[in-house]
Amino acid sequence: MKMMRLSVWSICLCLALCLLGLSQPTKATITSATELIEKAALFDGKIVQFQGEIIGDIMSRDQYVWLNINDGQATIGIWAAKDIMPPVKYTGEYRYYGDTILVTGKFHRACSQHGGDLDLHATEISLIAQGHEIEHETHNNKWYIAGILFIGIIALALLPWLTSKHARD
Amino acid sequence: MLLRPTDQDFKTIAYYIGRLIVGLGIIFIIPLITALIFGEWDRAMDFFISMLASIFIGILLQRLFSSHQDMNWSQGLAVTSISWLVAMVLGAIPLYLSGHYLSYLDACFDSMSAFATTGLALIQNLDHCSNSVNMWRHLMMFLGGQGIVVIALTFLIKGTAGAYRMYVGEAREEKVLPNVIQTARFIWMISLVYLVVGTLALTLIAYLEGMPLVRSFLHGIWIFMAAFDTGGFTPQSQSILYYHSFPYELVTIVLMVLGTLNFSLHYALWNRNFREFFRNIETRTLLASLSMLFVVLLIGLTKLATYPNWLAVFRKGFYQLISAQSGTGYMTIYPQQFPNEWHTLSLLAITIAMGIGGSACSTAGGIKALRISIFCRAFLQDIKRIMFPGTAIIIAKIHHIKDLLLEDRLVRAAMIILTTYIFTYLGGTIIGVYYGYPLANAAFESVSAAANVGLSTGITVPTMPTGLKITYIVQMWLGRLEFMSIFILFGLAIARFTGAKGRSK
Repeated sequence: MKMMRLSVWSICLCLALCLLGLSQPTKATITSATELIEKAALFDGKIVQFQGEIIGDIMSRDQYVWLNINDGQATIGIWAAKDIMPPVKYTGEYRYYGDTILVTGKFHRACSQHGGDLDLHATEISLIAQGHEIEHETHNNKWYIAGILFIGIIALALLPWLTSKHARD
Repeated sequence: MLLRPTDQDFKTIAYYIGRLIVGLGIIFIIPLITALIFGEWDRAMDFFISMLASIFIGILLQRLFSSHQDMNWSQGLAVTSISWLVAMVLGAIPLYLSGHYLSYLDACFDSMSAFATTGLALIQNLDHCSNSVNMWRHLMMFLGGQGIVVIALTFLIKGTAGAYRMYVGEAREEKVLPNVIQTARFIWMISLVYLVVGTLALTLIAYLEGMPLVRSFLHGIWIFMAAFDTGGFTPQSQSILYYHSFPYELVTIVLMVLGTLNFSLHYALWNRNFREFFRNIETRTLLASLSMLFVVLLIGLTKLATYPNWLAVFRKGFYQLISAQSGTGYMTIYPQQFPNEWHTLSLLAITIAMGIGGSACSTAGGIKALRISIFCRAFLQDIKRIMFPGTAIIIAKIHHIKDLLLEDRLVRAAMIILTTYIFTYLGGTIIGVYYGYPLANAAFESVSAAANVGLSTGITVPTMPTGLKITYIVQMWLGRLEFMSIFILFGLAIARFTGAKGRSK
């Protein structure tokens, strides 16, 4: 009898553990933008992790923001609540390499809330690395080329005057 | 008998090309000022070099080949076709110097794509592109859409018969007003009014949607230039998807439609002749084609349940269709989603829409609705001829600004261009298939290039084969100028060696 009671308890415990396991969200893995776009149907509705540089603007929409993240392959739109946004110093543009963030959220192949956009609704965002300024230096050769061309234009502009003067002389 | 062009013919061609190049050089001042305003010193130097190089080459040509002759037909058409190639090469200088391109060919590809208002792009790392380079990319679209020659006619070249010949060479045989210079100025006037209104609307929406004011304005002016001129470049790599905004998409739809309308129709509407909009055969054909193709597209999307609701169908399905038909190429989906998620029927609808294109004498590309309607009317007329008694006289008319009799001459002209477009689409498709791309994708991309649309299934990337890049450049050039001026150019080259001696008139 004691053995039987123990077996029943063991079975119940196993079932409870199994149910607990099933109720956990699908384990997230870092996915590339190319994978998300090309295998969108496969990832549709799944929790994914996506990492990349914040590009352009963080567009505020009431209690949420739209941001676009580029992982070096392509850019994906992220829909996130303002209160989960980490402090962002730089966004990617000509002068700056944007902050790198890791986004965990639900992926949509064609989001019903956002007019069919392929997007990611963030549940968690963490700052991975801060962006930085990008140096743009002017190469000396460009100055030389500009100088030569400028002299050439002056010479061509003066040519009719010089030839007519020569003819007069 | 083909007459051999004389040295004087070539001198005249070179002289006028020189004048156009100087004009192009002066235009570099706009991105140069943009670079200076935003402190983009390196880019400012790139535009300064491009400006100097263009002015130098332009003046050099004028000095070497000084000519005071007016252009004849073949010279005018040759000047136009060569000018577009020269503009491509010179326009690519600042693009290449910006460091965003793998090769000069890639920069030339984007430059031709911009001038021809196509929108296919090989630029890399677009999201880190400077304001001045973006200004130049979009300005090229605006200039190309208006027509490089239209600009020259407005500012540089007096209203001569030769000027009209250059204008025709740019696929603009219709004169909105009796005088070609007045026509060119009207095209500019109407475009500048829309530029102000369109830019303001886009700036306001972007600002309300959370973008900073200056960036809203810059994006507004760029998106306007590429939408109204049915170009399709955007300052961000995600095209219009970047903005995640339905109102922004709606405004671009309006601009794309305005860009695809005939300038003669714009003139009629400006003169409050609103009836013309509904009577005009082009607008009727465009509406019929859009409606039919939307049904086909819808069947395809419904079959695979691609989108979850009607709003999504409108924002993704209808948007891509209007973008295709107008020849713009703006996208609210990723290129890979076309082959991966869309049914072949939907892809076919988009391909046909691109192939048909917008109105004649507009900034849109493709065969053009007017030619399709002439073809359909002529087809019906021929069926009637067979069915009716032999003594019956069948007369068909079309209404395009005024009532026109459907004469054989008109049908022949439309059929020649229509057939040449189809052969160009086919040629690009065969080359795409040769390089190993699937038939549907190769056809889609080829039509997109030749009809100057810019939608892509993902073939157009910097790593695509060089041969295909050159093919698409040629297709964009042919499609924008509608063949004739380019064929005349080749004719001149052949006549140089095989023609009989004599003075061409």
